[in-house]
Amino acid sequence: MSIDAAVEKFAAFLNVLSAIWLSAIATLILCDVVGREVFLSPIYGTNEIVSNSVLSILMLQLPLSILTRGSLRTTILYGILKIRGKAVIDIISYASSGLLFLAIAVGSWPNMLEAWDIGEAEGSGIITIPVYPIRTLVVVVSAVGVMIALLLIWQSLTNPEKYDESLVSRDEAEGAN
Amino acid sequence: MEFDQTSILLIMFGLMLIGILVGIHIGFAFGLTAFFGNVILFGGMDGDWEGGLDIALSGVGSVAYEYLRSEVFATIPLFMLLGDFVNKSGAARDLYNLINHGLKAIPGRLAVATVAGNAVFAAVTGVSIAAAAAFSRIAYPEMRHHGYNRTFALGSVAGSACLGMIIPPSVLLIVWGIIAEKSIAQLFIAGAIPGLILAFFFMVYIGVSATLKPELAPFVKDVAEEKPLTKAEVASGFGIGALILLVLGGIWGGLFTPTEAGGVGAAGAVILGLLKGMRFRQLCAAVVDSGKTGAPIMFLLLTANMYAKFMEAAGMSEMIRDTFASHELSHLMIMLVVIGIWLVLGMILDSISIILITVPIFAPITEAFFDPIAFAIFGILAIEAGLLTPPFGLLVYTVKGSVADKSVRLAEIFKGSVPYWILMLILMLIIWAFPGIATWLPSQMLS
Repeated sequence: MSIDAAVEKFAAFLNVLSAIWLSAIATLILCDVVGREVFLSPIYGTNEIVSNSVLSILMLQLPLSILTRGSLRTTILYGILKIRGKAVIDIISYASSGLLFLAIAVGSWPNMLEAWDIGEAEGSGIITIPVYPIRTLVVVVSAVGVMIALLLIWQSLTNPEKYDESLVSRDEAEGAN
Repeated sequence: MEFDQTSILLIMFGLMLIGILVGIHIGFAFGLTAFFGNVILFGGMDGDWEGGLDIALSGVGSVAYEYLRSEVFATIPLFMLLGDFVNKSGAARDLYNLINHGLKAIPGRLAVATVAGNAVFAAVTGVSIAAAAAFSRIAYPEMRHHGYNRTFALGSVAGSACLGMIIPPSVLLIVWGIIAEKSIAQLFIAGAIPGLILAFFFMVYIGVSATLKPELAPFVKDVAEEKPLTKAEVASGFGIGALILLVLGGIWGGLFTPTEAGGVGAAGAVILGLLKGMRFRQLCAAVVDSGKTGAPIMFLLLTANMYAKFMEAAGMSEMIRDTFASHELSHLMIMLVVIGIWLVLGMILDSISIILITVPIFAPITEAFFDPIAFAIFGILAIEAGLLTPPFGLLVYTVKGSVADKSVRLAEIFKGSVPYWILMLILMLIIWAFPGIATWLPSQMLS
């Protein structure tokens, strides 16, 4: 299996995890609301679980969304450039993303170590949620983000025609408006 | 080298804007501006670059972990999920047929049904683009089949899709609420009356045009009675009605928070999907797809917060206050500048990015003389109007990409959308003059 395919498979796997997680959260909220409104017995800790899930869900979705070149951008100039120009902009953009993810990974590292050390958890009596896995996820996904950035740069360098982002379906930008 | 705060702020802001316009992905531009901005701000001013780097690293690290860990952010993926279920269930077509059937003999009926269908659809889903795509495939062929003028038909599809962002629930209202630190529930109530007024304006425009120039929209006799309604159409109609009641009724009635409404609504949409014959595999696909569209938005919010923290550290608020104080701009002038910037940005950037860049600057400036809730509705109208204008006009591109008729030109859609664009500007001015249109309902319901 090529590196491209392996990374994509891994990112797709993370995305499926996030989909399961999101469905579970929706179900939990439904049960909590029904429990509270109908049976007068809410599920305690729902709020804490939901709050702590959002970041994890995003982190699991992020690799695939970047890898499939679904990040949001304006095409006002990009759209009129030739293949080579587009590739140059893509390379600069993904180099920026690589730097950004590297900064996030390095910046999050000390707090992650400390969280493991003290077994950092959050909550108020009824439910405590360990947060060191979430901190770890941020570092891991940022490291994956750096690798994906390198891969995308490589793709744009070696095969700019195939990875022309103006050909990426506009539906990808659907959510933004 | 010596730096002062204001020049760092302006240089970084300028570099970021250039980067975004050139085509750097917006989230990366936000994040990297924040990172290097902090390095220069905390390292460059006294020459301690290493210290600056440490502060910048821990800055991006802490935002990445802290910012999204709040219940309110769950509204976005949950409402995206709800929307994906409803879109993929095919309920939009049933809804259009149902409304069309109910309208009987009014001028421009098929276009009016497009507006009404969009308004109802908007009350369940939170994005405009999906509606533009759906109605391009459903309503446009129907209108053309009955001899509607092409530009007129295209305009009605693109124009009425704007209703999706103003009629709650709406992803833009959620993002605005998060950025301006306003109650999302309150914004969800505030958008209702302006949204209905806008839909009414659109329908009146269509009715009047069709009456004055029947060649635009020939009177269609008995088209709705040709086919009796199917069970599926009636079921979809009831299903969507029940969803609206559940989601908006639940929030407005104080039964649950917007986040809970997203969760309950998504579950309700699954039931609608199952009733419409969606298979387990299709439901799974909807969940995975909602992740693909939702993730870039959430990432944008995250990196925009990094950028906002940098701007704050660099003294943006003081700078803006001083600038406005020193120029003694009247309220009218301030508003004209604000509207101008929004309309221009609306042509080149997506709505969420515009909110993220401008609202932290504009909201505090206008707070003294413009009710913040009314200002949000006003702003969303201005930003959404940009989706209909060249060169970027995302809704227009979506319609072009979705209609089966490949001879349709972008210019025709832009031209057809002009009246809708003007009507949105008129509503904006009305809200500016009478902010009560947006604030009255929340004040009644939440008092």
